Order: sequence, then C-alpha cells, then structure tokens
Amino acid sequence: MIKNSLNILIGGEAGDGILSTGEILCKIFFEMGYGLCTYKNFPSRIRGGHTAYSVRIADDFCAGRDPEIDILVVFDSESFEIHKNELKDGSVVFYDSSKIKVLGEKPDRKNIMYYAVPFAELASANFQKPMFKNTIAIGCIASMLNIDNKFIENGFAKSIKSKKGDDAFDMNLRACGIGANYYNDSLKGVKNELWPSPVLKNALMMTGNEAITLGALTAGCKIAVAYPISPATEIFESMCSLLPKYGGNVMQAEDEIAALCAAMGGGFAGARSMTSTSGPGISLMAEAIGLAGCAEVPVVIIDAQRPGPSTGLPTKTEQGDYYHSIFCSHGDIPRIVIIPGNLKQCFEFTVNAFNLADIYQCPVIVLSEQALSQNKFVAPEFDFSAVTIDRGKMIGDNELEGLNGGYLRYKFTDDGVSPRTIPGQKNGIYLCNGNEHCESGRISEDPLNRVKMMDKRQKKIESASKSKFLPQPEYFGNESAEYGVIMAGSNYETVKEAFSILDREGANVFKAMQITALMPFPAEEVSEFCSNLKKVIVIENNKTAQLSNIIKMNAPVHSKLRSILKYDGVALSAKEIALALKEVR
Amino acid sequence: MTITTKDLSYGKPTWCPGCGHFAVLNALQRAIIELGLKKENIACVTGIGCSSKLSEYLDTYGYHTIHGRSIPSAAGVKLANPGLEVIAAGGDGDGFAIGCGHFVHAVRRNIDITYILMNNQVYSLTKGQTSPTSDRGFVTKTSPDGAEETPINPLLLALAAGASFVASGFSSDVAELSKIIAAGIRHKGFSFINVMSPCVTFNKLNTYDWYKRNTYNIEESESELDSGIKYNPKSYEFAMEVAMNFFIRKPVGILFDVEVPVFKETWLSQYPVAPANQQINDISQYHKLMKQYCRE
Repeated sequence: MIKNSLNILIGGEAGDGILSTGEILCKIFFEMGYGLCTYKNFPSRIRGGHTAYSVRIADDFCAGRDPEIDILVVFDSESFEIHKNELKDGSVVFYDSSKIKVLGEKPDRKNIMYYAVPFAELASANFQKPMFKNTIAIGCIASMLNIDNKFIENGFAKSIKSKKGDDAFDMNLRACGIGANYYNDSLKGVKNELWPSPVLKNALMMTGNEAITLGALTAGCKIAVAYPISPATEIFESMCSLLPKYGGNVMQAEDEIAALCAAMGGGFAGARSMTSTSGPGISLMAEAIGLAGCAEVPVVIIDAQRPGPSTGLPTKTEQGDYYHSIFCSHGDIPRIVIIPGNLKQCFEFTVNAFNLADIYQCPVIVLSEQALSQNKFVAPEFDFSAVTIDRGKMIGDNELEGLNGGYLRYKFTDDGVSPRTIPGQKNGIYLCNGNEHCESGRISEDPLNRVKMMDKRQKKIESASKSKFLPQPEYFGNESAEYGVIMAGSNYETVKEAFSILDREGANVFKAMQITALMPFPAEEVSEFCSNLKKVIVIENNKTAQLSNIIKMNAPVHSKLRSILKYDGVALSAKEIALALKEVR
Repeated sequence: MTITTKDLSYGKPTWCPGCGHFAVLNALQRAIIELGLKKENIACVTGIGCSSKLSEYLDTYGYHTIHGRSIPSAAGVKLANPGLEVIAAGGDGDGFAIGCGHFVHAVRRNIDITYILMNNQVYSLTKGQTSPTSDRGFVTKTSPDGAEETPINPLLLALAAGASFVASGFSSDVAELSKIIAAGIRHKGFSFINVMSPCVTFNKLNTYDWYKRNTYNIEESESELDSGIKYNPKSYEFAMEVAMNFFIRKPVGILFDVEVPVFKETWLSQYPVAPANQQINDISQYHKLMKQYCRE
C-alpha cells in the first residue's frame, strides 16, 4: 500500500527535452528501488507548445496520476501558469530565471519554496548547449533529495551512455554536478531527504505499449502489420525492430484498412497475427472486423484509445471506444473485447488475446488507452510460468487424410468452433469466405444454412465466456460494503488507490468490480455484484457513460447505477475519485 | 500424378454465358498445371464483384475477402507463408476504385504476388454502372449522359508506380492468357496482369468484337504502333510507349518484366521456416527480453 509518494513535474515547450529529462529521472528512481509511474502531457506536434512530464515516486508500486505537485520544474512562464494551481502547501518550485524574469502571480499556498536557477544560462556557459539545462535541473533535484551519486551514475549510464556514448555520459554527469553545486552553494537549498526506498524486488519498468508488445511476442505473434498512429505507434515500432529477430515478419501498411486485412491474411495463412491502432484506425478497420467474424479468421487488434470523435486529442487519454469495439461493423459479428487495467494485465491479456483468437477463430480487440499505453510504470515482473499457448482446433495432416476429401472448414459443432486447416496442408483445401457460406466455405444463400451458420458463429462467443483465457472480473474493497464501484481499464489501479485513501480516512464503504471484458460480457457477475448494493458508481473516461450503458444492456441493474465521468483528455486520479465517491455516496 | 483443369474446378460458375471471366479461370488453371504447382500450395485471394468469384470456382485454398481488399489480404498471406503461390484477383471496380490505393503500394513494395485484374470496364454485379476504366461517354444507369471522367490507364498506372512486371491479356485467347499468367506467377515480385475480359450483359460497347478490332499482339509493336518501337520487355521506354498508346491500341502480351528487389527478400533469406509454420514453444527467449527491463 502506498503511504508516501512524491510527484515531480517538469514543464516546458515541446522540443525542450522535457521527455528525455523525465525518462532519466525514471531511471534514477527505478535504480533506487522506488515504485514509480509517469504521466505525460504533451501536444500533438514536434516543436512548441506546452509539454509536461510528471514522475510520481512512491514507497510501493503505484500506477496513477497525482494531480498535486511536490516539485515543479518550469522552463517557461506558460508552464508555471498552467501548473501553479497543482502546487500544494510545502511544494518546491525551480524556475529557469534565464527565461522567466518575473514569476507570475503565485498560488495561495503555504510554505512554497521558489528557487530561481538560470538553467539555460548555466547550460550555455558550461556546454554551449542549452539542452543541458534539463540535466542541471536533475542535479538540483538530486541534491535537494540527497540522492546518492551511484544511483545518478547508474541512471545516466542506462539512459545516456548506452545510447549516446561516453562523452555524452561524462558531460551529463558534469551538468548534474553543476546543478547540485548551484543548489548547495548559490541557493543554499534545504535538504529534503526522501523516505527510505522500499527497494522493490523483482520489479521491472516499462510502458503499457511495451508490455503489450512483450505479450504479443510471448504469445508467438509472427505477423504485425500497422499504420503509425498515436498513441499506439510504439507497439508497431517495437515489433518492427524485434519481431524479425524472432522469425516473424512486419509490414507498414498504406492505411489501417490494409493493416488489418494484411494481418488477417497472416491469420488465414496460419501465423498468429496482429495490428495495433487507435480510434481513427479502428474506425477504418470496421468492415474488415466483420470479415474476420464472418470468415472466422483469428486476428488480434490492439486499440490504444485516445479521445475522439474524429481526430480529437491525439496525445491525450480517454475510454471512448467501448461502444465502437463491441458494435462496429454491420451485422452480427462474433468478437471478443478485453480491457487490461495495468502493466501486468497488458502483458497477460495480450498473451491470452492470441489464445482466444486462435481458439474461437474470431477477431479479438484489446482496449488499452493512452494513459496506460504511453506511461511508464514500475511493476512486478511478469509471471512467465503462467503463460500457456493454445492454438485451438487445428487439424493435422494425418487426420485430414482420414477424411478422404470430406474436410469441411465451417463444420457445425457443439461449441461452434470448427477445426481449421492452413494453406499448404494437403486435403485441407477450403474457401475462407466473407460471403455467407455453407460448411465447405462456398457461397450459400440457403435460408436454413444461413440461420445455422449465424447460430454457429455466435455460439463461439457463448463458448468463449467459459474460457479460462477470458480475463475474469477482479474484485476488491470492503466486503460488507453497501456501495459499489465498477470500472475498467486504467481506472482499476486508480480506484484501488482511491480506496486506500478512503480506508485511511475510515470512509471506505465501497467494494469494487473491474470489468475486464466487454464481449462476452460478464452479465451474471455484474448482477451478482450489484445484488446487495444500494448504489453502484460506474467510473469511466468518456462523455456518454459507455460502460454504464453496456452494463445496462446486459444486466438488470439500471436503477442502481450512477456515473462519474471525465472526458477532458486527462486521466482520473485517486484523489479525484476518493473525493467524488464521498460526494456520490 | 498430373492434375487437370477439372481437378482445379469447384462447382459451376454463375457468370453469364459468354462472360470473359470463364477464360480467365481456365487460363489460370492451365498456368497452374503448366507450372506443375500443387493445388494446396496456392492461395487465391479475391475481393468482391463478379470477377472476385474466381476464388469460389478455383479448387485451391481461397480467400474471398471484402470489396477492394484482395491485395492487402494477399500480401498478409505471403508475409506469413512465402512458400505459397499467392494470386490476388478482382475487377476494375474492386482494384481501381475502392482498392486503388492498395494497388499503387503493392506495386511499390514489389511483394511477390500475382495480381490479375479482370477488366470489363463496367460494374456488373451491381447491374451496370460506370467504372474507373469505363471509356469517356460510356452510358450507364449512373452515367446517363455518358461517363465524364478520364478512364484509368492500368498499364501506365502500374509503370508509374514502379512495377516490375506488367502484362495485358485478352479473354478471347485462353492459350496466350495462360502463358502470360504463368509468366506472372514465375516472376519474382509483384506481377500485374490487366485482362480485357468483356461483360456480355452490361457492356455493349467494349464487346469481344470491339476488343478484337482494338487489340494487337505486343510482339508486333513495330508495325502496330506509330512510333515503330521494337518489342523489348526489358525496356522501360518500350513499356511506357505501349502503355501510353493503351487507349488507342490495346496490347496483348508482356510489356515489362525486369528484376527489382523483392519485398522482404533479405528477411526471407534468413528464415527458412515460414512464420505460419513455426512452432510456438520457446517462451524463455521472451523472458530474457523482459529481463532487459528489470533492475539487476
């Protein structure tokens, strides 16, 4: 449980090096053994515009935004104006006095320390390169928090030395020293030592997108085809550099329609295949999702959600694709939609997405979201011993021979799943078809066949609801609570932390349920969860209460549901949720 | 054991009697036989339209996809299993209207698939509307005053995008068409074959007779074209000259056939086992990958 946490926010213009500064801080605190998560707030452009990177350090694993800032570093006036109201009593502010001559109106908080540091001037004077202002700022922070040099060196070694070489490493260390000296000698800064590190064991640090990529690789994904789009791009970038090393193949498609179609070509051919995208891309993919459903082609689609509609806010976060993921494309489509809520689930759900796609021969959509996809988290190492690979009903060559040419790709079965062959298999020839077809796969417009085929395909989703690979809802909170909370995605960790805040205040009268799948939907579980509760608050990041309405579509709990909605592009925080829950109750 | 066209046929085609597509199916089957391919090693990927029903009637592995998407679907099949002969096919609406974007990029990529565009210059499955290859002035239900748009020149488009194999066939000559298709399949890289395949029901302008009057054997270009250019499919200049004259004189034969680096050639040489045929068992290598994200 998190007892102490510290939130450092670095703000400046895009192109100021804010992101890389944040990354270095992450490396340093990770080396020290703290729990950590980041929150990036950056514009959809390369140069100019406000950028902020917050690094939240804690004495346990943590995975949510903190709306309050303990240490604020600003390189321009705009950043101070944007973030000053996030300061609290006792916060510390470092501002670049070479650029900000007079700090704007200060917030009404007690005991805020303001340190004027000519970051840019110090950088130019010592290195002729203004970019070193970032490292000088790290030096100031490190000195204030009394961080041992070995962690700083390790941090720089892992971020700078490995990528940019020894010279850059040395210069950065020197810049860091300049910052530390400035803090000690010129500012006579106060030392404010961090609480002891919990030295978290068996921990890793990565982004949600990295966890998804690792999950896909581990699942044996061999084909990745995608079109670059924020905030999913990193998944495909990593696949491009890694997949060929493990015998797989990649292609950057000309658009998202081609991306999904090509991934499905891979699925039809017999390789585990995927595409990764965000809202605008999955909108384009809608028709092909229907093809995967009708033709029963296994494929995994990662949707890192961003705020829509249309282009919306490409670099911000939202949970607004819930409807689209279960409804998109015409007709009744068998599909599976699952929603990871943290790093561990990003990995595990992605692995199982490939199992589900193979077993139920249908498209599987994994819904991530920008806040989860692009932020770093320190989390326990993933449990590889729990990984199972199940390719479903794939019919062998010998068995095919025994059928004497009687192989039927879309054979009617009890669970709706028909054993499949892959091209190259003798005696397994069939037509994979997006037209309504009979058991052989050839076009059929016979009404009786149509009904049986529709029933067969839908039956698979019923079967999938009992699958051990389908992520099951998670429950936590006060067992005897009278009020409930339902959430999905990254709000899982945030609500957990909100509960610990309420616990400390003795105000936790809630229990919670995390929805991990939208299709098949855990209708009975939701009904059961709500049965003895007075009210159930559904917390989600979208305007129209999509999750709440999907619940209503599936379970008769309408009168109990209330909503907490946020759709400003920013993730919810535990503090906000705790406050809102107290009010709703 | 040799296979026959009968072994490669499935069911009875629903094309209109006299439809040019019968000849394309037959020519493709003959090409497969001539090349000695095993039918289980062929994947025929089609879009939507009369012509895209080709995969319904060819008894090989087939994938009848959605409108305009035969090419990216076929590309995925090839990526996953380079050992397969992948043939994409469809009509002029499928390939040059809704799917035109994919065509250009597949050509650029030079991915090793064969694309047969069955061009009848009209939308037929929807019962007669103007198509991107319809001649100017062509009257249909959606162009009652005659088509107003310049038709796409398939050969010029392919050459402009950097094609390594461009050919033009005609449904009335199955033997010649079969040779062209076989050459296309044999070619390493993206092979584009535009087949003039008349629609006897909805195109009363571009009929068999009309095509016969307007086509010529490409090897006789010297006497057939005003420029008197000599047949040379290794020459871009020759191919461009033939392509530029497409609306005046329609060639039958191979315009262009050159070696260009094939998409993923280097990768292919490194991995003997196709992604589709790899066993998934060693997850320890990914555990090692995870360790890179851990603190020592």
